[in-house]
Amino acid sequence: MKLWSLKNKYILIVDDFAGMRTMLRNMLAPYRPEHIVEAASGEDALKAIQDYDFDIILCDYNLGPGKDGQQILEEIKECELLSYSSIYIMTTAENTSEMVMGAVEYSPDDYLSKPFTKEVLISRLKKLLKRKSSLKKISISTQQRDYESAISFCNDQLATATNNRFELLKIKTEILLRINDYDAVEDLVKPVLEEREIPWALLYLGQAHYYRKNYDDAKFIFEDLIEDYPNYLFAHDWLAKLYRTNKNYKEAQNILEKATIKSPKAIKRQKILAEVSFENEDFDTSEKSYKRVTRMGKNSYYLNPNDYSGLAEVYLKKGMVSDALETISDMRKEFTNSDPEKNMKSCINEAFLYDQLQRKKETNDRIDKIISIFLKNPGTVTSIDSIELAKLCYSHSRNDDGNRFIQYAIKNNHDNQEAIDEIITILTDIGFSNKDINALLKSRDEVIDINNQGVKLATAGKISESISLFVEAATAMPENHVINLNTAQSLIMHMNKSGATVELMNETKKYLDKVKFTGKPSEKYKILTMSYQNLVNTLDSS
Amino acid sequence: MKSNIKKLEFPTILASSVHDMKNSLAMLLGSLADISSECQAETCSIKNKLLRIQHEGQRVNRDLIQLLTLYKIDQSQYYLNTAEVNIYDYLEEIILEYKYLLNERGIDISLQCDTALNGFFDAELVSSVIKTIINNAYQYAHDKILISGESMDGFIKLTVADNGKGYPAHMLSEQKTCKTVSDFGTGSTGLGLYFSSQVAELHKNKHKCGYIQITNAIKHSSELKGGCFSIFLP
Repeated sequence: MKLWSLKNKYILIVDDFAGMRTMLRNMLAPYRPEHIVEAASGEDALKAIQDYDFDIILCDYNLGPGKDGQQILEEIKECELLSYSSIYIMTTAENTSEMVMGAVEYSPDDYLSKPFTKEVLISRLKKLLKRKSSLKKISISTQQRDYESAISFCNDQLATATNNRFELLKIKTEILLRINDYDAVEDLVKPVLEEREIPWALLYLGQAHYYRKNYDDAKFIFEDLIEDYPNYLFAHDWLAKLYRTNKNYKEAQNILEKATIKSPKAIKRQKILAEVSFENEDFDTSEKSYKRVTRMGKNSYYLNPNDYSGLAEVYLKKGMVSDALETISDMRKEFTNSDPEKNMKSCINEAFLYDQLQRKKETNDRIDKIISIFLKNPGTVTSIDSIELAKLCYSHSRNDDGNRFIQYAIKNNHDNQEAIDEIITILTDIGFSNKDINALLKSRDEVIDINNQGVKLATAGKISESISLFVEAATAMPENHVINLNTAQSLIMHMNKSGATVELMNETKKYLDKVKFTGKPSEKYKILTMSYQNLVNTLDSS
Repeated sequence: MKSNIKKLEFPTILASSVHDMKNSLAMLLGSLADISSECQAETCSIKNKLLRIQHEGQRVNRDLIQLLTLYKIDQSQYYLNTAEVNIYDYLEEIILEYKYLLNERGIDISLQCDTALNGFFDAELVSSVIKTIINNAYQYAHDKILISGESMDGFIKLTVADNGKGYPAHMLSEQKTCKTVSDFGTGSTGLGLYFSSQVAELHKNKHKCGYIQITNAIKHSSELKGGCFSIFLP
């Protein structure tokens, strides 16, 4: 029998205590891992995670000042820095039960209470590595949004499962929720609940009710959950969401305030509290929450220009103009050197805030800047923002710029009649004549022409020409599903003919990932991801 | 002069003290395990003393966890984290932690459990019960400890049995079950049993409630005629 080892494994040890890091290193070293990296703080850990693909991360929960283990986990999950096969273990001297319930979106693969012996650590690692590999097929197909296969893998495993039946049921329920199959969720969860009252099963049943607009049933479940499991914060989040949907902002705020007291470090929840209390016109609470978010979010992925503009809006409501102006300039400073999307978002928010403050010159300056970035990199503006920007431009008599943004929104949504109708309504409200509107809608035909041309080139075997045509189109209309799918398709056709390379595969994945949909993916998307996966397999085996 | 320092709440002080102590203990026990493994009984005259220190260190650790947990239960601040547990893997891991220390003391620890047996409970909390009982058994067992897990009338029954002199009569007569105040007296065993019964009672499912049981003989294993502790989880 082959001896178990940590061969080829990259391991990260995060602990603020040097002695503890050395001890863990000594426990692992005899199993010959490829590389062990140590980090003393959350910040160092995040840097290391950007540099290496770790297979195992052992992270202490309490790291002194700065980020804690849960925040590190959330950040790397949000930024997709952690592969599905990696293991994240939270080591802790605290009792873990509070952490488990308080976790926001993500939980680690396991908790280990200090002090633990080398034997226990190794035994856990063995089990976790085994478990990860047993769930590998399900994880891969879920990641590729091939939910049908994921469900059938779940079913295969459930048929023979002995010791992880509930885990598999939970995973399956989560997939069913993703594809909006709420009846199936209910059918799956009810027998589980007859066996035993499990918080996640109740929560998912409540969600199924919520999405089918059975608000009373959903409310009943969430309230019960909160009463029986006061630390189960997901239940608070969902009850607040329900109240918010029903426009009962007061109750929503009340629930969120209780939850944030229990989870003062959870930024996402704090953000929602800031928004809800604004809707509830409790501007003092909103101010406090936004301030918390911007303070806690410093140097984190979570920080968003909307957090600053939200705060500025609060100041405007409170008539505190100079604070609003100061917040705008804080936002500028924070995001100037940020990624292009956040920088753009900051410029857009600035323009709207200056407009509210009736500062004409500053507003126009911002619009100029937005357009100069937009022309170079259209992908930085979302369709939703572009419509708002168009309105702003029209109101400042910048009709050509307004048209530019409207055309961008039309091109991004050329086959989405609902979106097009919405645009027509907006234009009619502004006072556009039918003739003017139809002129703008011509950009829809442009997209159809480009698409037909690209497809024709591809079917005629001129794949390289088709690729360059589609890539150019996808740059100009980055949210357009049809174009993104056809770009991916022409790339796949090229690779099927001339062989796959890592660069082309990454390029293809980029276009596939841009295709957003709620619920089930389209047939075309499914076929393309399947071809993509076949190419991955040939690349792996060669 | 008014002090600007915010007064800390007692639970905060308790939690952060325990946290700090556990970090120190982790280092202490880790270093002790290193030293102890380098020192062989035949050549090392202090081996027995080292083992004693390791055992006492483990006990302090268990006491700290008990202290904090009991405080939280008392304040109704303890929330169960119930999850599915494979009993065999679970008990095996607990044994792994103690095997070395027990073997060095000449005690053999073994496991009896179906590998496919699963249960639902707060794994961390229940493991601190089992570990506390093993700590006691370390002192009282003659040379054998048997850990077992089985399913019984809708409960998962986890048992720690030894071949020592057994529980004193007054403890056996004082044991009570669910929803009653337990009085096991003071002293480390008494407190350990009190802790165990509190933990058992926190576990509920479909109107059933967990409980503990202590006896002085174990039916299915005639060779072990010492103390026998069981926790029943619904």
